[in-house]
Amino acid sequence: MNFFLKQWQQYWRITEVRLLFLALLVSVTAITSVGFFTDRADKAMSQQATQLMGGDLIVSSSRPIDQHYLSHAKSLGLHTAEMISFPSMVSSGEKMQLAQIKAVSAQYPLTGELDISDSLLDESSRHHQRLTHNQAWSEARLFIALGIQPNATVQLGKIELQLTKRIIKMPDQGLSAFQIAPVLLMPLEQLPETGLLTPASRARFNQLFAGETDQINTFVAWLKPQLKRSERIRTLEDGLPAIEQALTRGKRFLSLAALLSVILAGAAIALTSYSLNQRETRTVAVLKTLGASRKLILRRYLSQLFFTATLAALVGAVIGYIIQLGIVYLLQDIMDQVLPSTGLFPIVTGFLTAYIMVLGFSAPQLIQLVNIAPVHILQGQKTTSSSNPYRYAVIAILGGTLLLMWIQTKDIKLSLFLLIATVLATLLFWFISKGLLNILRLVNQKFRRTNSVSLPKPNPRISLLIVVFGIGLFSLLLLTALRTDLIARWQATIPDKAPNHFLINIQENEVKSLQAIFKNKQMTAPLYPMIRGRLVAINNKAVSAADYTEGQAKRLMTREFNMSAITVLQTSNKIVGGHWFTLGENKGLSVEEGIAKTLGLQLGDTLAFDVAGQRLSDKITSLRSVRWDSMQPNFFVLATPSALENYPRTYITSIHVPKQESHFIPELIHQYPSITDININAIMTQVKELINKAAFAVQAIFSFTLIAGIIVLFAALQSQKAERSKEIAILKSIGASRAYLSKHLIIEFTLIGAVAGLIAGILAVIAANIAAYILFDLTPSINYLLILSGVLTGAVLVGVAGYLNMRPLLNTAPVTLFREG
Amino acid sequence: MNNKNIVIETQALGKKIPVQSADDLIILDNISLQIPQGASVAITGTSGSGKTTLLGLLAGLDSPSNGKIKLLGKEISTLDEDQRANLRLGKVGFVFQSFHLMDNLTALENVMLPLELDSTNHKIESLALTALNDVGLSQRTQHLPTQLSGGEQQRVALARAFVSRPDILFADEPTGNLDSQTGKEVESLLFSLQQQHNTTLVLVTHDHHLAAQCQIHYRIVAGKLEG
Ligand SMILES: Nc1ncnc2c1ncn2[C@@H]1O[C@H](COP(=O)(O)OP(=O)(O)OP(=O)(O)O)[C@@H](O)[C@H]1O
Ligand SMILES: [Mg+2]
Repeated sequence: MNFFLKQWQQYWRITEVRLLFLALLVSVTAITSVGFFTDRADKAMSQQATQLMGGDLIVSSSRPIDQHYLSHAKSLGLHTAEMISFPSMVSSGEKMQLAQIKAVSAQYPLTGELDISDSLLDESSRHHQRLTHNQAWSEARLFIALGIQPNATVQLGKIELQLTKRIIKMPDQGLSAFQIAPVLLMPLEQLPETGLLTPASRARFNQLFAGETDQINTFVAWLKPQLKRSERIRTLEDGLPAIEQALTRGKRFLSLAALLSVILAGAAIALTSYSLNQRETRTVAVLKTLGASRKLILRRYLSQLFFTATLAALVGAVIGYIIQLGIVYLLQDIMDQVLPSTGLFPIVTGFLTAYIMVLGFSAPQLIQLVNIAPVHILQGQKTTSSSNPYRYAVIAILGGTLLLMWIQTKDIKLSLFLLIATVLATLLFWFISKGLLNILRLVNQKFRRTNSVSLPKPNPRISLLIVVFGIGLFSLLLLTALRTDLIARWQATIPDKAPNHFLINIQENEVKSLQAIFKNKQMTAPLYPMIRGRLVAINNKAVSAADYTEGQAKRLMTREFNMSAITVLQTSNKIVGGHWFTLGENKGLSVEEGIAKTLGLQLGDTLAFDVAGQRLSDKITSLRSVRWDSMQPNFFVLATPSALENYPRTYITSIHVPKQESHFIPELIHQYPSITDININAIMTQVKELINKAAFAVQAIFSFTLIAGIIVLFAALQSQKAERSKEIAILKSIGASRAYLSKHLIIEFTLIGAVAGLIAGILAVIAANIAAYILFDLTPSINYLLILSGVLTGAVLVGVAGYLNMRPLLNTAPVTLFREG
Repeated sequence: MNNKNIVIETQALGKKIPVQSADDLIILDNISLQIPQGASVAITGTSGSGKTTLLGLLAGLDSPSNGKIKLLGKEISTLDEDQRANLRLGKVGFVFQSFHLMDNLTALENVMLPLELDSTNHKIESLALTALNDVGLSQRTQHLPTQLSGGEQQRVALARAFVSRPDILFADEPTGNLDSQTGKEVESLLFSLQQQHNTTLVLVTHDHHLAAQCQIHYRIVAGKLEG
């Protein structure tokens, strides 16, 4: 063992071995940092799901739920609780904040933990206290937004409550940063006094049940046939709201980012192994003359290789763990909860990655070494192994890459797709770089008679360098573009006077006086009635979520649609099929085209909605396209005003409040406490901050790709060193000065980097524009700064690294260069 | 000639290289020779005459096209590569024109290398230090080859060649890369070590002065032996 370590120490002196180690280290670090993070996020999610939102079973509805479910459950011996939740404004003095009100019965929660604290800072918590009359508890964000401490009094609708405790942790909390409003818990029995609950308000009614499994099963069997259309049993899957799906997508994105670094590092390993193979040829030949057998040579190289991989995996896992802590810190606002500690599985993945990488990218080339004929050592020439190591290597590399992709995505189809995409991207970069270098050479030849600046010859190693370095740079530039440029461009398309507040939950009897106020202030704020209805039949055939397979359609069917009635179409809407209501028309429905497509609705279909127990049925007479980012209230379904007259409704409006009128909204809410204000500016700031942080975390992972690119750079330079030193010796012997040679080196490497950066920058701009078009319908624009920064980054990084790497060769006297065996 | 202890013997040894769409290229033809234990042998000839090729065959690095070779009493033309390697282990040393030291190993580690391959050996480090001392490099044991001059590198190579007390030492132009003064120093070191350890020395050289110091002298002309 001691001998083995000594040998490894000798092995470590070889530059290629260190590069190999670094490339493995970067891969394992990327894989494990993402692995640890997603492992913790997964655990958090499943833990949350098992907490089952405060009860073992929840019946949820947009309508008040039949009380006899509760009495039957009690007769079966189950525990029960009730919760009604809805958004509302909470105010304290001049300040107000939108909150998610949860009015709960005394038994809440039946399961899961509800941790509370007496102060905003104190982390020590107490649980199992009951809410008492006139008290409320809320998350810290509400205290902060209102600028109050625990025990302050807040106004909620018509009543005042004492906000006594801060909620640290509660069931059904979700990822609270993505919920626009902080949660406020209040006693259910006081809900009527607030006057906030009207038939049209956006409340969700929940009955919670807990008990032994067979009691629950008996109850569910009894319950299922009784459920009304609006009522459903919440399952584990419902526990994953949209934002957690976004997180799942984010996790996948991070995994792919790590994968990209791994593949680029794989290129570095293949390249390094190639030069290691070249370099060790002589060693192997000498060892063979001294009597070493093929088996001994194989054992020697493979054991060193796997030891290097093991060491890289160990160190990489440790660094990966530390980086993961950093990611969690960055995303703590989004996660907003204490994540469970990580498991060991990411370490397994890390080790597996390292071993697959040496097996796929390095071993095939090193194994070639055993075939070296010792007799070549006598001929003084550089001995090369008999067969071309590339041939086996390509197969092994493709196989290894596919395996790595499969481990990371756990999806063979996706892996094959990624492999093909990688090969195509490589070819794209390869040919573009080749073309660019050729053009540069032509231009150079044209303008200079004496070819005084030697431009890089388009050889495969330089092309590979440009490919890998370019792809790394590309991914970083694209992310930068998406993070900064895209949101800024989208915001620029929003007019200055665009509405910045949505007012919802406006009652019918408040409409007239509000209109007068807006008119008085010269604010345009059209009030739209809002009716909520569940789609129950298409062409007189009953439909439910069970009739749809696609997830989005299923979700739509479990929700209520927002419907409105207007005569003049908003500017953000366009009729794309059928005709808009003519004056005096009192029949027909206009449906948004996207939802129509999802649910398979056609012009002329008859839709039936259940609106607060009443049936509303009509034909689709038009389809509309809607710009959802217009900051105007928009609706999936529109009808004529007369058609909706007899249904319970609230009103909604969007309004532009100038900065200097900051008192307007608080005063308005004071006057009309049931109105809920959604501050778009605040939400935008919040969303922007979130995107920024998330993108930064992703970028941190992507920076591994650049590190991998730099390792490739060094590997490529290393493999050229012998060749280069001969070239330099020859140039020196015929009189080239040191200054002349260093100028050449600098120009050459700077150009290579600039070419890689240019391609990366241009492709990043193209990709960012495609994303901008798909996401926000933005017209293309060329971000020259991005291209420039690509060129500069590439030129500086490759130029400096290349020059520093090659400079020692300049110092050596030509004689010694000739002498080196 | 002393034939009680022959360590290398060849009979009608030949080496051909197939050439596409032409007759085979004959590099060596009908070489028969005997080398006794402890002798010093010089092989000379013009450039391209086949000296290096012959050395490779004698050492078992290459296999002949025809004829027989006996190395250390074993017929090797029928052995495979590993069997031939095993025969060399600990018994054969090499000195090359361009030194061929491992540039990631210190002088000491380079000298230890042949002993490490032969796992039966235990006092590796002290043996290697002695060998380096014998070539006058006891002060430079921790230096890497790039930190040594050509002459010093070749002296390390000599230490590496002699450290395992080989029966036979093969040397191909050991002074070819050195200036004449340094060459002479390495040369006298080579012969004194050879005599000290009673090693059989097979030396390929252009240098007539060097060849003259050997007991046996073979000349190769166009692939044929001229005794
Ligand atoms: N693998 C080979 N393929 C083709 N020709 C070869 C091969 N090996 C040796 N030769 C040729 O065989 C001849 C003898 O080569 P060898 O290296 O033995 O000569 P040498 O006497 O050592 O010459 P020098 O003094 O220049 O080192 C040369 O003409 C050489 O070109
Ligand atoms: Mg020769």
